[in-house]
Amino acid sequence: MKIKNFKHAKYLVLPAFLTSALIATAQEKPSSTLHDDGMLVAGFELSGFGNADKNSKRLQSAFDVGKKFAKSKKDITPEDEAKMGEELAGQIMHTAPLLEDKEIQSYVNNVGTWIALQSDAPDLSWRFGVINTDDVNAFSMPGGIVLITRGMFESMRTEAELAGVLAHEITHVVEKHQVNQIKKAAGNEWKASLIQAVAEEKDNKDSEKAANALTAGMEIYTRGLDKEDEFAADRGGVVLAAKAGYNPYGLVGVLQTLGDISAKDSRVALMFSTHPSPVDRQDKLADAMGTKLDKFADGVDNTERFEVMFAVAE
Amino acid sequence: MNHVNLNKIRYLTRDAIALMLTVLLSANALADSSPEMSPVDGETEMASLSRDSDLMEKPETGAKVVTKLKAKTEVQVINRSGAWAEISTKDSQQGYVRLLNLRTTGQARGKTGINTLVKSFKTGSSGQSVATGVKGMSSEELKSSEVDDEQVKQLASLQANVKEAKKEAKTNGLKTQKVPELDKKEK
Repeated sequence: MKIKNFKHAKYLVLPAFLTSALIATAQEKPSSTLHDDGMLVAGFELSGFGNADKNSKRLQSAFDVGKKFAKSKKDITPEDEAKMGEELAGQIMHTAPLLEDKEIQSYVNNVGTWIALQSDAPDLSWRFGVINTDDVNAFSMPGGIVLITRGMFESMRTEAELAGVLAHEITHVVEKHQVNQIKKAAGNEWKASLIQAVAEEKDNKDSEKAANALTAGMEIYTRGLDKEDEFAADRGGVVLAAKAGYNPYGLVGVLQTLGDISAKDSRVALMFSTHPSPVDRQDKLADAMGTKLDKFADGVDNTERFEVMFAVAE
Repeated sequence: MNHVNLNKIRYLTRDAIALMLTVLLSANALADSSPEMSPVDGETEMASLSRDSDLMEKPETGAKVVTKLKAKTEVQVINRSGAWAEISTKDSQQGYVRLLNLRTTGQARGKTGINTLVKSFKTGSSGQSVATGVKGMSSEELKSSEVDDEQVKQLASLQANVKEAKKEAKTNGLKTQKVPELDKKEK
């Protein structure tokens, strides 16, 4: 197999740091099946690297970092996380670019940053963006990047709802759900694939296996996180929103909005395929919340800036 | 003197009327466009109760119970307020139930789901087009996407100034609170 497709070659570079993580895991568990040919990432027909020198270099550096980790058994550093996050975000924003509206972007950054400051990781380089797609979803990346789709943003009734969504995403980052998912990826096809790819890298024959393996990073966003992580981010999200002074029930309103969209609607297809159902999430959240946060329910629902934003935009 | 005062009053009155008009108009604009106003455009937001619920006269624990509603009762959502939702039933009973007891069921009224719940808004003055026809993101697209370094740079350039974010939060009435973490509850 030979790579002819530059576009494909380019995205292979993406999850350099995932490679590292998996190698580190492999070192901890030497019993992993490293040589099972059947464990390649399903569904990818990639073929070599063609002439994309720049990308080959980046891929090579991915291996270098991976080897470094493999040898030293080091964990992923915050810098590695940040780099990984940027590459993942860059990939998502290639599909749906930032909305060209400074006011909206600045608004979301101010709201998000304020909330993130109340989290356990206030010093991360938090960046927020509204991406221009009808899709109703939000994404967060290691290192402190949160992207919310225009479709989601438009559905907000109040700033407390926006706070709920952002706080949910911030919680994923703070609790390292993405990074941990990779670390504990035992049993996932792509883990074995990655490990195998790196193991075979010395004879440089199976670079397409490496290529396949390196697409793994996006799996987080196309397959979704662990269900339990979503429930945890819901619990963490309502608490974090309340810490920032908002009515914690904002996220509940969002889940009700999501629950009211037909599962057949293409705008929620990705979200629904990567998250537990909104009803499940509300059931779990109701069990955890009970009336515990009622004393914070008189927190801020709406703000002048929210009303101005939506009034101006109307 | 009298003349001057009269003029002054005239001006003051004129200014006051202008101001009042402005206030009224903008208040009106806000009311018209506030996404908080649901149902929107005559659409209704329907939900059903996830469990037997007390319909309360006021949005407070310990308020007078209007009636007891059975699980799966269909209700119309009028508004949300704190931990409560203002609802009305088919037999026109109105009151408040706990927000956490409401479940929506993928049946937003109207042709395209979410549009029935929200006010859509134009994407600012940038003139950036809103895609014709609604379309979601696909995992295939994401998987085969390149890394857009320019977008990453642009995202970084939008980052908020921490001081500014704090100041803005304060201006908008936000205050930090100590809140206990929630434990996962095993059934």
